[in-house]
Amino acid sequence: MKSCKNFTQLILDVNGEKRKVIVSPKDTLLRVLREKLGLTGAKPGCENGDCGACTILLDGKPVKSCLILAVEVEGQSITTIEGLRDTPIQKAFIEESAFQCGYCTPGFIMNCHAMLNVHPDADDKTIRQWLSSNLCRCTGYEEIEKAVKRAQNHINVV
Amino acid sequence: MLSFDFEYYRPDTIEEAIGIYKELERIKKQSLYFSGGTEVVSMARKGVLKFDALIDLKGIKEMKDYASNEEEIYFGANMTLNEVAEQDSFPLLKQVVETIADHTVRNRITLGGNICGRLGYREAVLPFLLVDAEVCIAGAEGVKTLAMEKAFDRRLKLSSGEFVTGFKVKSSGSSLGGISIRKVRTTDVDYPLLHIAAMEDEKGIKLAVSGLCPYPFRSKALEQYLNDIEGSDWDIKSIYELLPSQVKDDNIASSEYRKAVFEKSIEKLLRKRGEA
Repeated sequence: MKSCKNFTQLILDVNGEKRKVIVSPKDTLLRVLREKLGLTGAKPGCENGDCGACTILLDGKPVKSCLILAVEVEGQSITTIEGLRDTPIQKAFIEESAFQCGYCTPGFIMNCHAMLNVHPDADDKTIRQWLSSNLCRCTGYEEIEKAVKRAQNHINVV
Repeated sequence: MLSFDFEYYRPDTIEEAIGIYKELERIKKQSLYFSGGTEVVSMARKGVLKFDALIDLKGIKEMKDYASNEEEIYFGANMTLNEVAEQDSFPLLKQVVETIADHTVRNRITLGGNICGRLGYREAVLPFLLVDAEVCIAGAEGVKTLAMEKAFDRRLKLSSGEFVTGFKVKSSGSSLGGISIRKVRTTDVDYPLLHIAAMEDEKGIKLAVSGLCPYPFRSKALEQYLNDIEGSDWDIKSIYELLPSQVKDDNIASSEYRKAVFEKSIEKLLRKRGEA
């Protein structure tokens, strides 16, 4: 049985690298990524699981890192926005100007990326179902939806 | 970061989980079982939940199991709501869990966690209240299986140190289908003003309700009333005498608003029955 009573060293698999980090059980994954590993792409928004700005992938599935304790995830594969390079959804966000202030963008991109991995031909219902997990308060959702569809075209052409 | 210190344990077996709970209890430490953790972390962050230790049940492999055969379907308590929604064997359960929270959060919320949660909605229990479901509960004496009808009254009745390992339903009753009517105040991911799960068999309509009262319920008196209605000759106001408690009145909606939503939803349900 694994146990952690105070500070303990974890080896986290982040963006394909093994990263050593000292954590306390009370540290959320979001805060460890940002403040101990310097990965500030995942954003603190509501820190209550509502806004999706902190979305990362855990074993390929989107999750809200503000609702997860760092001690829970040792042995799982963590992907943050820093782990994505020139993906179709990143290009599509730029081409469609699917952001304004950009604060929610990493969360949206992580969620869209995960969705396109499992549903490259996602229909409107699926897109809305997945993206209802993220909030944007300045751009609006139309451009984001267009970016998803543009990324689908990129993927299907490739 | 949460604002207080606590210990974290991740047992690999049911026996280890029970053992560490008992040990922590012996040394007067308050511990809490958790799995998905969404409710525990958010409540702890707000300061409305405190504990000395968390016992993470995610390491117990059999609690993640899913099994289905001609007789019975088994859902492990650690299945996430999205994993449950991927299964077609219990269509009403799939319908209900697909509407809880949002897609990303459903990758963490577990079936057991939703049903045992502190929030009064516990929507995933609704379909289980309508079929001959059983709940598997681990405790110091091992794992026991109880009828959901007896084990659930407002919430799952668990003794100190017990936790849920899974849920069983008979394949025949669960495959019937049904309808989920979920009403929210603003967006789909809100907590429900009202969530009705209903099924119909040769005996008539069966329904379980969340959001209307402070806890989820199935009222056989209400079902009897609805099944005795003929045509449009019925008085919806008399339904409220059959509810197990007052209709909720809170900052999400007044009781009058909730009642109006409930009445429209019951009308919809009865129309659907007429169409069938």
